[in-house]
Amino acid sequence: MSERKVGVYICTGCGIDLLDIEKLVEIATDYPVSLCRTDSFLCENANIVKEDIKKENLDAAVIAACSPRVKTGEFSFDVPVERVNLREQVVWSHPAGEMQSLAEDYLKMGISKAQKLEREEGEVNKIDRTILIVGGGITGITAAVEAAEAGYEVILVEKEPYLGGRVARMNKYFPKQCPPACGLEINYRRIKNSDRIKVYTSAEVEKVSGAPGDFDVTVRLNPTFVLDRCTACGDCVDACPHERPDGFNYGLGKTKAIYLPGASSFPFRYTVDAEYCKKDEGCAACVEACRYAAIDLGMGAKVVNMKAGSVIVATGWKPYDASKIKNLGFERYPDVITNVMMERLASPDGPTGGRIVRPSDGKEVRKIAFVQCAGSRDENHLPYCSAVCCLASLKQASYVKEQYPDAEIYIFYIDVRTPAKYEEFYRKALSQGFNLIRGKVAEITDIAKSTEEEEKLIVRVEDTLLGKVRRIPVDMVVLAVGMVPNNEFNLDYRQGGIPQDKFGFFSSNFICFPYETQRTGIYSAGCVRQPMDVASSVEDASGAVLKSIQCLNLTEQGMAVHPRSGDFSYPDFFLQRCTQCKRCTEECPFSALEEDEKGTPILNPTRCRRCGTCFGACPERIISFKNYTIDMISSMIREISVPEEEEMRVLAFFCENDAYPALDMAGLNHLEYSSSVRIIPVRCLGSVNVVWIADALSRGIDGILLAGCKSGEDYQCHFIKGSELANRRMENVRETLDRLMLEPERVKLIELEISDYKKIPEILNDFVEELEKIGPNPYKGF
Amino acid sequence: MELESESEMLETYMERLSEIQDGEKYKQCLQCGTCGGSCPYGIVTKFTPRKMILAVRANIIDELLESGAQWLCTSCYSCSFRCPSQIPLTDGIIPAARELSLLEGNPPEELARALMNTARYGNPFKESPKKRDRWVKEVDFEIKTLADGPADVLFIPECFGAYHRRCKEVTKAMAEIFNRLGTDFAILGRDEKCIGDSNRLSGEFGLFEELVEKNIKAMEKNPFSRIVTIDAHAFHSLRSEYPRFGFSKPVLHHSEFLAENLETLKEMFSELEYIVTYHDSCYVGRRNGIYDAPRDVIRAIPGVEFVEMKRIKENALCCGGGGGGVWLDSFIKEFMKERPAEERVREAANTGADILVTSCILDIPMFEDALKMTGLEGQIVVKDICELVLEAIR
Amino acid sequence: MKICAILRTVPDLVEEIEVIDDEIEPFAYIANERDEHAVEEAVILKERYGGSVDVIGIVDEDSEEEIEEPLAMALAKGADRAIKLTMSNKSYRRIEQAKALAEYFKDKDYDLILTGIQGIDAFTGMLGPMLSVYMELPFTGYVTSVEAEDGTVKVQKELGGGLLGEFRVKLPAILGIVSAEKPLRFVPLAKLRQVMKKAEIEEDELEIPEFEGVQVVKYYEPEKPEIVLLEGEPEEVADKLIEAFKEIGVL
Repeated sequence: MSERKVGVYICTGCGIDLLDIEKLVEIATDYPVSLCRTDSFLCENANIVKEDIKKENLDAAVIAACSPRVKTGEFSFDVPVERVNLREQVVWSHPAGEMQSLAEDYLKMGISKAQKLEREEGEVNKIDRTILIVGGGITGITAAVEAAEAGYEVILVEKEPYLGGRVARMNKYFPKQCPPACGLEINYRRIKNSDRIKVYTSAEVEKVSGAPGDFDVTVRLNPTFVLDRCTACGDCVDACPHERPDGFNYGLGKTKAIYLPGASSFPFRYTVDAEYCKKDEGCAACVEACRYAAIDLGMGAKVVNMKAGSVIVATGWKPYDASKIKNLGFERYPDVITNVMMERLASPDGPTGGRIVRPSDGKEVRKIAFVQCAGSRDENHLPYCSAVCCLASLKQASYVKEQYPDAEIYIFYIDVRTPAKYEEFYRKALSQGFNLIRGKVAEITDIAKSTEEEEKLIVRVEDTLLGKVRRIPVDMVVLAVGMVPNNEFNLDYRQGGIPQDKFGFFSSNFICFPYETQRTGIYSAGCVRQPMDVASSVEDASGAVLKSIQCLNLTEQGMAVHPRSGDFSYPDFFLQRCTQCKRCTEECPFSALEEDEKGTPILNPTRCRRCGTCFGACPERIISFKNYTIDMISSMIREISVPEEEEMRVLAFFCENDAYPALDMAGLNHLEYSSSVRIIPVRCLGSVNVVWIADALSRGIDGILLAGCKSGEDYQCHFIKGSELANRRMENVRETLDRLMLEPERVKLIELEISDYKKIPEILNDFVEELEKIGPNPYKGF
Repeated sequence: MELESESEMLETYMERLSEIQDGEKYKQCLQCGTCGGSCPYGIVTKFTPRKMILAVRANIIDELLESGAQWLCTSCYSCSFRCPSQIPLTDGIIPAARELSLLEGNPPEELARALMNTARYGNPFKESPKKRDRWVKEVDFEIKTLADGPADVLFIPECFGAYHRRCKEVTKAMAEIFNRLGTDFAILGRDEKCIGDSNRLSGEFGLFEELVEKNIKAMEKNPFSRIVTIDAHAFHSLRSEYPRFGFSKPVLHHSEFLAENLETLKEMFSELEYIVTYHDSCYVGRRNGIYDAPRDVIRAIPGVEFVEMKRIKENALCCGGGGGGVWLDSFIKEFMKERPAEERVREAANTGADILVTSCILDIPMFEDALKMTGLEGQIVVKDICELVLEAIR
Repeated sequence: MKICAILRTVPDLVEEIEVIDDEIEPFAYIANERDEHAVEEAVILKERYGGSVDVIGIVDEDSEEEIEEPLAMALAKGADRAIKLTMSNKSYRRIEQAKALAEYFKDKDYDLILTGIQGIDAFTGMLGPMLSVYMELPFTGYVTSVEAEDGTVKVQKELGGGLLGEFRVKLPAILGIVSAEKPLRFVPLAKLRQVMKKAEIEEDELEIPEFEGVQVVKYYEPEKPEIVLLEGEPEEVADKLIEAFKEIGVL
């Protein structure tokens, strides 16, 4: 590598002039740098740097001034810049007598790093700009039309023969009590009017592989046995001699083996249920009845391959299997139904034409019980709240009230959850005179203990407000069952499918980046992300579309998506030295790395989020970024002065995201801390390579501190497991310490939140004190 | 030496809870009332488990103890089984409250006597420990004790099986089945002490621990490969509680053992013309998930017509005998007109069965009593599953 | 009120006492139940009126009696002091014990001395009355409850024929307790073990003069009666019964 031309600029404003600037200039010019200038207001006069770059052909600039977190615009140039934080982390946070050696070390570290910095350049990728949307429910449909209307090509894949998903099977929406068909109709029209959306119904995504901008999608088209030219005249149904349980109606009632899924089915086309059709036994009654030759019983499944640039997973939910809740009598008593069944029962196109009657005998419903949290908020079943059931039951109770104004309606609940503006809906519902009883239903039986209870279902519940156990006889029971995510998704990556949270929903950073899965370019939206109502699903769809569009655009320009969006750098592997240990491919939080048969990593740059976890993992140190290499940090470590006397020297790796800003904030608040500590910012604790620790300790540095984000279930690491991995690697560190015969207490890992800045002086000073107790590193001076 | 104050009681209570697995979970109680609605005494008690937790939270333990609600628990496990927060109600919330009553010195008299007898004699009946193996003289074959040599199966009849006039018949029936099957089995004999589950559930944790230690010591006298017991509570304790004290042998409920030997038994079966229904005992069914083994055995007997009651398996109604309930009869009578056992035998009789088969030894006295109370005696007969099996192979 | 309760142990009949060659095989002892009631009543009175309870456990020298556990139990129940009093020379006459005890109590200033009304071993119920004679204090027995009223106690007694009587007794006094007001309080095993570990049981000896008057000749079990179960219809059973009565000559 030829000698690089580096310019050093020292700002003397903001109190930095408390330092011996001449000495700093002297130190800088001891290095083979092209020039070193000082300025009392460098951010204002940044032009001088720009001019030097041009005039002197500089390869890199060292800005020794304020924190790299401020004045970023002023100090960004056409060459790589290394910022030396003399303000927040030196003069603002240390007493005058101690700051000089600290500043000198930082300047040296900065220059040595700058000498190795290479310019990062983005490569424009050729990408496929199609968005694949898996699931044609309300979320998928919304996502499809929003993306298409934003100018993107869309593939929409739905496994049922119709679009609309669960919503198409509902009677009404809360809070407006309007029919879903209305909103669906508009969306279907948007689909029909768009030439950008390709809809595949009765189709399943079998596999997704590849990477953002270049996904390979395998779709299986299941046979419907009915061709597009079906006019939906219905003659086939009259002719068909075989029946099937009506899945659309959740098993309430039956249809013929050839059927139209719903009155406003889209596409409006009949379909054959292969499980119940007796075509294999030679039946062709429907074919004979069809005047338009629209039925082809010989149709087979087709597998097609497609390309996509990003993916939205909107596979939605299924109702919790109520038969698992043994005490509530579902399946044992036909008049115990679920909330989704109730929607069908009340729907004009449902099994009873919208009349709410007892499934067992078709009798009117005089007394009805809605059992909330049927399996929800229950560690034996679904530990979470499904967010919609309270509102849904209140809505369904009004269905009953509408048909039977005298009906007695009981709603058994633990907490009624109707947040935000839904409170009004709750009040309106209450004004209809429902009996709300606070208590989770313990048992439903038909064991009568009085004449009043005969022929009824008896709900046994502790009325927790009254403090009494009650038996309430009713005609029918509706179980408010919760949502189970449809989380089967075959992602053909080294680490398997899309990571799920502990409940089975596709995991995301719950607050900061809700739609992001841990797989770049794949976004989850709607109820597969978390339980939500229709309005939220629609919002989710739009959000996920935005993210998937961003992904396409950033990927095209060769940049990272969040959180390092705009970063061109990506890890480079010097594979000749790879030992196939597979640590990088196993530890990559985003499964960006695949493996060949031998176990050599294969990078998918567009999946990569540039956290550097692979680089921290690699024992052979063969992974580097253009602006972040093992060697760069190692040379910075070599520049740290190691006092031979009693004074301690500590090297601290601070995560850029939380710990480093916290340190800046300590400076901003003029909190003083030990000047024995030298800070090196890192992308993530996951990118800390053990070799740095070994280097530092063998140079005689007394202790190493790693400061990262909170790990565990409520992790705060934006690269998911930085601190966790650092913690795991501490075992290797302990081995290193053992080998060097050093005390394990010399290396410490802490979790620091950005708001913890007040704790910093204590943390750092205590660590230095601990080290003083242990005594100096015996390698000092070697 | 009573506990000085409510706060001292609370401290003792919390200390006990902290020693019980997941005891701290009471903090997650949603106050949903599933426990109260599930409790056989929910309708009559002043403090359902939910309210007990409230009482603890509000530190009004005195009021709870005075109500006697803590003694209205048959340890049927319905509340714990259904609790959406999986709070150990049966194993924690209730026995810890009972322990306070014990420390106060005033548990229901009948139960107190049973506990004191168990502490002194190793059985609640105030019978001599020397008589624990006397039932052996009532069978016409030799039964060895573990102290004399190793065996494959260690058979635990437990207190009711060893002393109770009616329950001894079950013990003898099971012994005879072992004998007919050629099982190499032994008993602990006089070395056996009460296995102690009722003591634990009654809040007499110290006594339970002492019994565990003594029994484990007795079991160490010679090797054996596994335990079979006819007592559902002993079964549960040996399987789930004893391991905490270092015991690690497999433990089988006798219905499991019968199911395991079903192929051999089938060859020995002769026809029985009965209509049979089966009561899922709390500690065999709900607590340990054994639903199929006893049903498989009953169904395998030729000629038997098997009918189910309305509340089965997870939802079966308790006989009322567990958790010391068998010693709380007169206490409970003050609260409730119809006891669970009476409700249960009516339910059984409604199936049209001639025989109500049980798998927990406490069911037998509880149900036989209930048959007398309900006037159903003669209409339906209570038999342990091994008695039915023995009848079929005789 | 300064109260003393006297506690003795008696053979535990549950544990089947065996007699071999006219001698009783070693057997287990258990606290005399009536004495436990005396202790209970003493603790109840202390809780109600304040004061202290001393429990004196009497054992014979060289006997197998274990008084420590019953004494610890009394402490666990609320007694303040437990004193093990060992009597030299086994005596079958309560009178000797009573004399010695009276001497022992002389300077103890107890307001109330409670004894169980009798023990299952000797069945005499004489300890209280004899103490009363030697200590020249009032005594009354068959007491079921005690109430204090300035310098006296009002006691309830069981009388013959199901009658109850109320008596006023001047303090200090000696009472023979038949049963405490409330059932015996329960002590969990862990608590008892804890007390046994920590409790300090004071020890004292009581000299009993040699007395040759009564000696054991032998112990024996009565011959067990033959039990015949009469089965059959009521008429049949009645006939058989008459037959049997005739056989043994009562008819």
